[in-house]
Amino acid sequence: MKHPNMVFPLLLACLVGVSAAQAQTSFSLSPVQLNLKIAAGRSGKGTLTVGNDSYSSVRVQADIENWTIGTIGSDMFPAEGADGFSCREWIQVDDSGFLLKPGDRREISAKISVPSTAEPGQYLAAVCFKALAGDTTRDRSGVSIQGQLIAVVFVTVGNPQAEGSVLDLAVEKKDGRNVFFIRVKNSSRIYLSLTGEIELRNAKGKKIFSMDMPEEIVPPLSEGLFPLIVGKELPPGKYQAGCFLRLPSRKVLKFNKTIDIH
Amino acid sequence: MRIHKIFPVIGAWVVTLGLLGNADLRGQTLELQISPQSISFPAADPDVEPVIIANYPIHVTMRITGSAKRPWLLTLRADGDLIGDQSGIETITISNIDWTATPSPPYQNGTLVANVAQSAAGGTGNLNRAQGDIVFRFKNLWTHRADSYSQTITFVLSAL
Repeated sequence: MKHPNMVFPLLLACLVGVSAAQAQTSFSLSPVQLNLKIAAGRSGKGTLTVGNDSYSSVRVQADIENWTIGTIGSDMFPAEGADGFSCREWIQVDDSGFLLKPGDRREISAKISVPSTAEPGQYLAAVCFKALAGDTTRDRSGVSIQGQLIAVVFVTVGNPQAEGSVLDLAVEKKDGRNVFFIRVKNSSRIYLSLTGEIELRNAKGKKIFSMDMPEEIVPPLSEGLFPLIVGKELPPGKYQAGCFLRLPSRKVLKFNKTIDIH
Repeated sequence: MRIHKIFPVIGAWVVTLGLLGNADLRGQTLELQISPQSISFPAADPDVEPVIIANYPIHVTMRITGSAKRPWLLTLRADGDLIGDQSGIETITISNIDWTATPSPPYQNGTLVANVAQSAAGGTGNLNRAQGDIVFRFKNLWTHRADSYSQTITFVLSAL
């Protein structure tokens, strides 16, 4: 027999105000990335513009948060010391909460103060702009929906050099499709931005397949695992697989391996 | 003397391009439109309605300009589990709420996890008003205590 208290287990209120239910959040942010080079002990500054494109006022809250790239344990694997590349504590914004009327734009200044003890490297954090409903007096029952736009802030201290290597190139069959997995190690103290391609050559050395890898980023002192889904059927067999990844410095990371396509 | 004072300031303002790619991101803009700002799940008998559909779908529009081939991501983050309004202590695991999203791609289905962002859409390059509908669904179980519950879900749009 069911417990009387549980007859209607969920009574998520339907009393949410009609205006809130129908209202729309529409806002914008530019630029979405600040990329600053600042010496230890110095400070720098960037400007971000937030706009309200909706028909009602939007209350905006700015927060500075740690920011990570990728999903740790799934496609990103930080090594010891990799968690020390946050610049969250270095950033201050000049206005952390404000009301934007319809059509309004607001320039927000972000000041970044690098401690004198900061070691060379590239540091990351985010300025997060959350749009709250203009009417804050409404009933809070139910599920509130908010929007948030992110400006990531990269701060480069000193002159760190990019260093990395391709650790492995593997292929697996998933949902009937071949998926290549490229594992890259970033042994440097900056974010590695990589583009490149993979290729397959047959026993005669003839290239039978190639595929571009879209830009991927590996955080400092971390390993990244990037899948590439092949859009067409590959003939089964043994191939010489090659992986060529370019760094912004034009240096190319190469990796070769014999693989079996089943 | 004056030159020495000016140089460090200029040096700190120089934008470095190239460490993370070749794109100049100063002109990049993100736009996010969400409607409505709240949803609810009507009460129902779990034997009759084991899954309750939210009263409204969330209509999302994303616009990204100046992005070239850079990656972008839309995530959904619940600020915690559902909290009972009357008791203030009763909770329902937020993972009882999942969503279906269309069109796919770029939108994708998922399940909410407390305080952990879950991917709802992703891709590379510019977007010109990519519209989508996200329909939330609640797993209606007899084990949930009767109460009205609330929580906040944040749609987070970012690009690199």
